[in-house]
Amino acid sequence: MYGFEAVAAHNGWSIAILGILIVFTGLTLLSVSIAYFTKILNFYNEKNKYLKKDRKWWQVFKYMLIKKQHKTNDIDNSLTLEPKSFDKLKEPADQYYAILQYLGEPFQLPELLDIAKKRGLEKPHSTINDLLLAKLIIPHRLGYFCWNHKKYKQKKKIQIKD
Amino acid sequence: MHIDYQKVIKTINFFNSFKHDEIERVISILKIIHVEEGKTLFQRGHQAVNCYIVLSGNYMIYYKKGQAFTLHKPGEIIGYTSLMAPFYYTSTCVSLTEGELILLSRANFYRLVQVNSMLSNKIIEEINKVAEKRQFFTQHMND
Repeated sequence: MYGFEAVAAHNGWSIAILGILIVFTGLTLLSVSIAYFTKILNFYNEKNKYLKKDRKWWQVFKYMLIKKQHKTNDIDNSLTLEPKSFDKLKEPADQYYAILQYLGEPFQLPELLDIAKKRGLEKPHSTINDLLLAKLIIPHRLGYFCWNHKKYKQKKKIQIKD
Repeated sequence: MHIDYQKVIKTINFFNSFKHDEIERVISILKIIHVEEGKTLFQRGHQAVNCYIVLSGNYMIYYKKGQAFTLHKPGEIIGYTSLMAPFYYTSTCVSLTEGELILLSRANFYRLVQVNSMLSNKIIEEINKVAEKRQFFTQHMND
């Protein structure tokens, strides 16, 4: 038995078709993987960016947790902090409020201190401390601070009424 | 001026877990200092030689990018990196008002480590609690 007859008798056609299928499937997979290879490389190169992004969120969350825990820990740590009355703080509050109009919000506390020094304001360190204790300057987030507009307006209104 | 260290230190949370004799030993390596308003206690990047515990006053600690936090309560720790490798300050500390601080120098602390490892471990444990709370700041504010 020779030729096509022999091929058919020994399942040659089906083996040939299977061979072709295997080779073409392999080639297709190879071409698809080559097509996506650049994207995989891009992801690999920027993996730090993606991970850092996640980590940042996680760190912000962790910071908030720590801050919350810190606050609860400090409850029994009572200290007699006596913020100055608003009457005494009125003038410096207006001065620092004016600086913040230029500085913008949220702001950096050391920057506010620097500007206050440059403008020659009296006792900038202790004044900022008084504003912090009076909660006119309040922590914003991640080490930045902002002006407590609500409290400032309330105090101003009370003063005008008086 | 005579300062009753025992009395002062017992009011500080940091030393709550310390026994009477341990406080006695710690006192031998501590010093109380007075700071004026606006004084820079230390600067970021400088070699860390002293650790401080707040007795009174208000302080601001700020980092490379200007992010800051303020300390207003007795018992708060300032400059704990002086007791931890690589022994340089990661932030700058400025006193916002005049106040008093307990000063613990690195040299004295290591002298205590050689003599009494149990006690120095206790101090490190307390310092670690603070370091954990401040980890976020020290890691991310100087990036």
